[in-house]
Amino acid sequence: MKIVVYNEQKVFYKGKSLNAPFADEAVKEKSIDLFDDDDPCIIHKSYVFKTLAQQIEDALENSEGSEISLNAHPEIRKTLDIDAEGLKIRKEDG
Amino acid sequence: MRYFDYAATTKPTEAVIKAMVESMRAYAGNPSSLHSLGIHAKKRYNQAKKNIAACINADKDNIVFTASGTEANNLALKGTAERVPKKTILTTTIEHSATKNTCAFLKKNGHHVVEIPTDQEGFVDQKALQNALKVYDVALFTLIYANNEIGTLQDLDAIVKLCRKHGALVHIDAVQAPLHENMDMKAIDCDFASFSAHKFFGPRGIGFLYVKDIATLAPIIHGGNQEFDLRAGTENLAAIVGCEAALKEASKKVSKREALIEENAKYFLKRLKEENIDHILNGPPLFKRRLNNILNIGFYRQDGEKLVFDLDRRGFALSRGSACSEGSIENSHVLQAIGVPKDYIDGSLRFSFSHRERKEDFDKLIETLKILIR
Repeated sequence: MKIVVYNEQKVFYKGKSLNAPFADEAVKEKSIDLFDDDDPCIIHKSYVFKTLAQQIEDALENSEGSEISLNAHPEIRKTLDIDAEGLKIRKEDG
Repeated sequence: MRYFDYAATTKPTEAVIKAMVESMRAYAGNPSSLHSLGIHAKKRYNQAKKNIAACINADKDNIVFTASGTEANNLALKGTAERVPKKTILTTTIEHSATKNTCAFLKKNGHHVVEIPTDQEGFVDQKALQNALKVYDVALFTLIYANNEIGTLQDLDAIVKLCRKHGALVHIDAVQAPLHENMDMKAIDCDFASFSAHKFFGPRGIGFLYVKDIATLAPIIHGGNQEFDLRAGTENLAAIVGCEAALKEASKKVSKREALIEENAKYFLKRLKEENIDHILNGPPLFKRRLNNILNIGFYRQDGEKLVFDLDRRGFALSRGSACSEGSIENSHVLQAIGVPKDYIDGSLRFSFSHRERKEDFDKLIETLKILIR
């Protein structure tokens, strides 16, 4: 799924959810959660990225509108390495 | 969860678990101890070894227990290289990493290792093998008998004859085979064969190496004189008994199980075609010399890693065969070696099943694939 991460001033990310700018700390935390491993190999790390991306996709699929506000989704907000307020994510066609 | 990853591992049967638990309760002694508890355990160990040997038409003295198929491969390769360090070891381009990386280790340590190519279905290029046997002083040809990724079954009859003609020993990685055919070591006539219990509904942590003549090997683990001095360490009797129970069960009704597997394989491929899902079957076509329970399917321009992830979320467990390589995920070296086209290799998945699946399981799988591959 392609997504756009933005706020009223700026677009921070546009592309596949899988390649979103996930914070190192969030990747590490999810890896510990899934595998009890704070330094996973690339295959397990890629699984962590997929899990984080899926979290965004699920939130978008379950939302009533076409976008989600990350203020309402702190569990997603903390996974993104973007230093800005008022972030939203919407699905991008194509 | 619908399980399509039998080539990765199988779940021990209740009979296997029961045999292991009973063994742990009943045999407290070390089989090497010369008191009644040790002797009691040694007797059970010998019985298990005889029964395992009988399942593959071998003798008790041909069986060396290891902790895994990987260790069995290591013992065959390093044990041979240690005995005849100046000679060449031949291998193929489609080996399991247990052999591939052991060969790489030997090469790094100064041994001469040569890879024999295969054709597009994964069959050993016998002309190239013959040339290598003529050109080099070959100690051993090591090859995967039943390929764990694409199912190719090698023509052992021709290969062993060729190697014999040139005085080379033959090691087969037979780890995927016992559930699907009766292994007859006297008929196959190879020198070494690796087995692993967890591939045939036995426990993990136990494998064995069939060794035709123990004088051809040097040990790689030193210590006590267990396993003919080839593999030191107190015997894991519960695991050995589990292996015995699993192999005895696996050796029964092979053709009946295979008939069910063939039906399922045929049905799955038919349904993929009917639904117009763009795909290729990597490896040999059905019913050629192959394991029909390992179907490696390449889906056109798909992300295989993502498909595995999405299938898991929808209740299907399967694998790909990719590997970590210097910080990136690389496509399977087996699929690369047989030349799977770029448009299909990234979306290649290995569906490995048993005789237990029903048509409905494949119908569900097809329905899910249709949703994911749009």
